Amino acid sequence: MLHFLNVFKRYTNGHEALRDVSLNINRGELIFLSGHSGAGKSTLLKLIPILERPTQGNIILDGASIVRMKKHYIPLLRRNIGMVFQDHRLLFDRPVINNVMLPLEISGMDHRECRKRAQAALDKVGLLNKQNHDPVTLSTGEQQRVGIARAVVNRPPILLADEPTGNLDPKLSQEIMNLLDEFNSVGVTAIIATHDIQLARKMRRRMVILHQGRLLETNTSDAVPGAGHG
Amino acid sequence: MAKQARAATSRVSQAIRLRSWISHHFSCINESLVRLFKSPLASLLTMAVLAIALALPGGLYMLTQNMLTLSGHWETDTQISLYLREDLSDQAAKNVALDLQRDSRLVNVQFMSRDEALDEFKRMTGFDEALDKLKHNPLPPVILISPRNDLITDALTSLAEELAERPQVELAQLDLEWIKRLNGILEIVQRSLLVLVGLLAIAVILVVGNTIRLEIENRRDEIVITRLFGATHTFIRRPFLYDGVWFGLLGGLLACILIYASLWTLGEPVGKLIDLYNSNFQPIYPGIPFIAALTSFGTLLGYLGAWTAVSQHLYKIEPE
Repeated sequence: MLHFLNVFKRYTNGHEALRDVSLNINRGELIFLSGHSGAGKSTLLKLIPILERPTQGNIILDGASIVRMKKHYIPLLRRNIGMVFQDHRLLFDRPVINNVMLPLEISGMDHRECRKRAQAALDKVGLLNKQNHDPVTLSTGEQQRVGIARAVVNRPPILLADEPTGNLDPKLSQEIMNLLDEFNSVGVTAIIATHDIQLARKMRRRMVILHQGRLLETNTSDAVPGAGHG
Repeated sequence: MAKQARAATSRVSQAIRLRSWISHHFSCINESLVRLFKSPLASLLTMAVLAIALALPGGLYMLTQNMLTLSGHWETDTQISLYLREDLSDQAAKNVALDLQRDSRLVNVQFMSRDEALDEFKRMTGFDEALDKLKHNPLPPVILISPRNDLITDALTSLAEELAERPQVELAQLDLEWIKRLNGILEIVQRSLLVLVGLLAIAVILVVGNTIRLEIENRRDEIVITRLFGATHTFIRRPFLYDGVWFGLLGGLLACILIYASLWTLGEPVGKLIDLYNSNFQPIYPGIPFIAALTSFGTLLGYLGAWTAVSQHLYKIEPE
């Protein structure tokens, strides 16, 4: 479904974030991108919704190259991609439910239908009872769950998560991973960038490791000895 | 069959799209107004600046309109004094007056014989004795003419010229010079009004532009997030354009109130002055067309101001 072919990304300041990365991601897969901070995980994720464009190489999504996609079409591409951020990026000037409704409103859905679907998404992440709260009053874990509800509310085929557990303790991190796993099990292709290799391994999914912009290994965590014990 | 189904679906989805497009417009209008009232002081200050900038040319326009009607009133009160030749007999002079009475452009023709003229001159000046000493009456017979009051400056001038060409007429005097000068001044005022409108329109655009720029900065997070979730430029800029429209519209209405208040303040002394001139002049207050024009102008400028801010600053905000 998503293919990276010999992708390079060099920033204008000369920093080479990705070097010759080739990667195939299948439909319905959940894949972990791991590596130290600055290894290029975020950059790789940003290439998918065209927040950045590669300097070289090709990216094929659903059979079509998105490398030279016209600016005009980028919003439509992004409506098919759900995004979860380390810092949640919720809007604090409106209640939880309105945050979750945002992607639906953008796609031009009827207001009542928006509300219904947002409530369903909040129900899935277990926060329906807090729909009218201000995001500030929520705990970090809850805020991240709202972020996930917002990312999946318009049922995108692709879900990108950049360090979704970065600010959370291990127990909450596990909860978030399980939640993402659940969405993946209903058919969403999920790409999760995390520096927490231990946690990623526990999930027993394919994991690729980036090191200084290069893809080091691509394997399923099943093959890693000791995985699944903790 | 399949084609029909597809066509039907596309019709339905188009209808839904249109409905949601309209509903987004309405929610933008609504939210924009709510935002305005959320920070009432700041909004009021911006609107006050716009109102003053719009009220200046608007008020000056009302003032010149009033002056024009006033000078029109004076024109209609104009008389032409026809001084006939001195050697004309009273009967011949009377005949001229009778002849003039048939002219449809004149509403009133009043003949004054040489003796009557002398009597009036005596009455008005009090030089009885001095005049009595004169061997003969030095005054010519006069015909006082009131032209129809729909005749304006040019027609009056040509009427006076025409009358002056009659052989019995020595001089036709039309006292229009000062009205001409007044109209000349008004023309200059109107021309400078255009310049003023241009300058203040730019000021309004800049003020709205700056306000919207601040608003864009304040809502940077929201813009970034909506962009991340696939909002189009049109979608993102819509609320800001409505902000500008509201500022312009409300600023325009406020300007009308300012103008009304200013004219009302001027009303009393102007009324007194007009009474002194014995004129039945009624001052013009801004009517519905004027209010509509000024608010639409304000709205247009607000929109343009928002548009400049949006096109300069909104596109610079890219998600990272």
